[in-house]
Amino acid sequence: MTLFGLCKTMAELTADMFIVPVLRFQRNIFPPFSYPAGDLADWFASEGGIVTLAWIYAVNIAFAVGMTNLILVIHLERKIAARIQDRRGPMLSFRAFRELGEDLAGEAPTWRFKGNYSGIGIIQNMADGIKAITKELIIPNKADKFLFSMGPIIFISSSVFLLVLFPLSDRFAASAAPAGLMVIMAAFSIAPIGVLTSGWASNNKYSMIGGMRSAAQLMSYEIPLLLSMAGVFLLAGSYNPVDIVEQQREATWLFGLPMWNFIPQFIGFIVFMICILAEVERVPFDLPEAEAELVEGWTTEYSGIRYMLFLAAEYIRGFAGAAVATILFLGGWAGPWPVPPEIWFLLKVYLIIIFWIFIRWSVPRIRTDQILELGWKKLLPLSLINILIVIFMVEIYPYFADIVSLPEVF
Amino acid sequence: MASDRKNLGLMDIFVNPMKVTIKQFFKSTFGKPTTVMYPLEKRDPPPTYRGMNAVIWDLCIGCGICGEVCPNKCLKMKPVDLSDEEKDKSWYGSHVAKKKSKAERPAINFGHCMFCGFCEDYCPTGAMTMTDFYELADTTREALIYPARSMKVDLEESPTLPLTNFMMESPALNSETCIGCSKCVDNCPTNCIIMDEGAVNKELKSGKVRNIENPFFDYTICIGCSTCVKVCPASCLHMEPIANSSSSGLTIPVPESEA
Repeated sequence: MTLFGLCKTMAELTADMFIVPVLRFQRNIFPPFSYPAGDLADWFASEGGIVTLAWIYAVNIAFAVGMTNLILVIHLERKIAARIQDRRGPMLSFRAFRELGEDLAGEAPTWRFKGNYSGIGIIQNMADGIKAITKELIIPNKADKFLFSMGPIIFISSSVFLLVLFPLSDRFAASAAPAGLMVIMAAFSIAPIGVLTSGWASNNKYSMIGGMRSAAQLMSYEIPLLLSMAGVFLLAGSYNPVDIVEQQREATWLFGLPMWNFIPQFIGFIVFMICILAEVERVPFDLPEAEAELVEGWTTEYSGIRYMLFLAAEYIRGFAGAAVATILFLGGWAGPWPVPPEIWFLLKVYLIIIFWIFIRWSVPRIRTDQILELGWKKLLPLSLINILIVIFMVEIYPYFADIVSLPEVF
Repeated sequence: MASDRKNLGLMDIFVNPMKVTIKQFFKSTFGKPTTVMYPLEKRDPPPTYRGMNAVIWDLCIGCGICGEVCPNKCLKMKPVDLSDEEKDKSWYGSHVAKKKSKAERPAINFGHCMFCGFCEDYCPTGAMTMTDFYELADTTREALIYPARSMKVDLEESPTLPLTNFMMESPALNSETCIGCSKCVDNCPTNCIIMDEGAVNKELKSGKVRNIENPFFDYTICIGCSTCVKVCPASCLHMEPIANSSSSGLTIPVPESEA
């Protein structure tokens, strides 16, 4: 049973048991006011109403899953960063309050790990969220107020939109669009417009430079990114994530080992990983918000819930970028049997995210001229070479293999 | 510089930094990080740590040397009301039995204190101590002025240290101007002064000739606090550095009877 099928069942149940009876009851009790209610009841009883409800359920479930993952990614980043810097990071949990109370009251302590207060600091995320929500929203005096509000809307909505676009498995997907990956990349490309808008509207030179850098970064990286993805699309013959993962699941290599796309297209994999890192604006490609050079980049003038949502949207984009990399090159949700495919998918995504976190605390930020040079002079030719390799694999090698009976390698 | 830049390869910009971070990550994840969870766990300060001051009132004799040596002048001697129990326990009797109205104990403005520890070093009785308490932050400046009684500590067994003259000075008398008022005796915190027959005879208005009593100092227990110099109404006392022998540097004339 797929997620959408489940949602449809739930929608039928809720429509039959709750929504339609309530609306009909309302129509019977208040006849003079009941014409829209009566029409709504008929609509919810029909197929269209149920499908609409099912869509609402599916999108909400995908959104909740994505937001949970967002909190976990932020927490993971903080903890790993802390350990790399020989710190502890957020440490306390709800249980620690009880232990603290025990110690203060002088009672016998419960069992504790290493004698410390327990927890890995999950509630720190809630504390930060509450703090950001309760802060004042400041709009600078000379800012363009309309665009200043529009920038966050463009950036955050296009980022949250990503959450419902990628499937966690062939059965757990809010949308299974045939052109799924193209839609994801299109949604990814909207965000720099929001960045540029925010940077311009802030009326601040640092914000402006940050927005401009974001545009420059987009120009130099979008082309090799899409070209490196083209190899995968050629191999699978589809833009659909489900088809791409099925192709990787079926392909085998020596001794029947799985041949996920990063083995034949290793060059494309490297190019894609560098480009997606630039796409989600993480270190070492965080030029738009280079906190050592520009104060906080294009988010300098933002505060309160807007700033928090900017940060959250960046992590959502990071999560979505890792998910795209997993679908394209790491075999998606393919994996040995006893672990569910959704868990396999999340494991691979988190592996990439942890790798990114380690990169963040290892390497220095790249310069603006270096980013253009790397994008145009190195990554673009490499991605073209990758496409040539894939064309050889898909078209030329099988043709000659038929003629001279070569072993079927690919 | 340009040649250096060319030499940087993938190993230098990516692999070696990753090695360092991964090593440090495993070290502090499976070992113990350097930091502690501060409000819950606290690091033990080193033995010589200088934190907030505490005064063992049973040992304090109110000599005021701590205020003398304080570089920031943040320590003042404040008169306090001693309870009967405190009077009984106080060492040397302090000023309790004397004509001076009240005993004095140190009070500190920690907003000015620089924790140099001179007050602890110079205290002749070991009453001034520095604890390892370091959480002195407060919301107002006035709250950092600690009154004398707030720094009082009671020990079950007070250590009795020998009185030592850390000031390396001792009082000396000009007997020509001494009027024999015995104020120095009343105010001496260690009772090291006695009044005895002086060297000078003075003629009173009535025509009588009377011997003026002079103070004599027991330099073995003098702590050099210069209280006697401060209270002297005739300015006949001054402080002189201690030389090798305990009696040198004094200007007390030898009484005629012994000469």
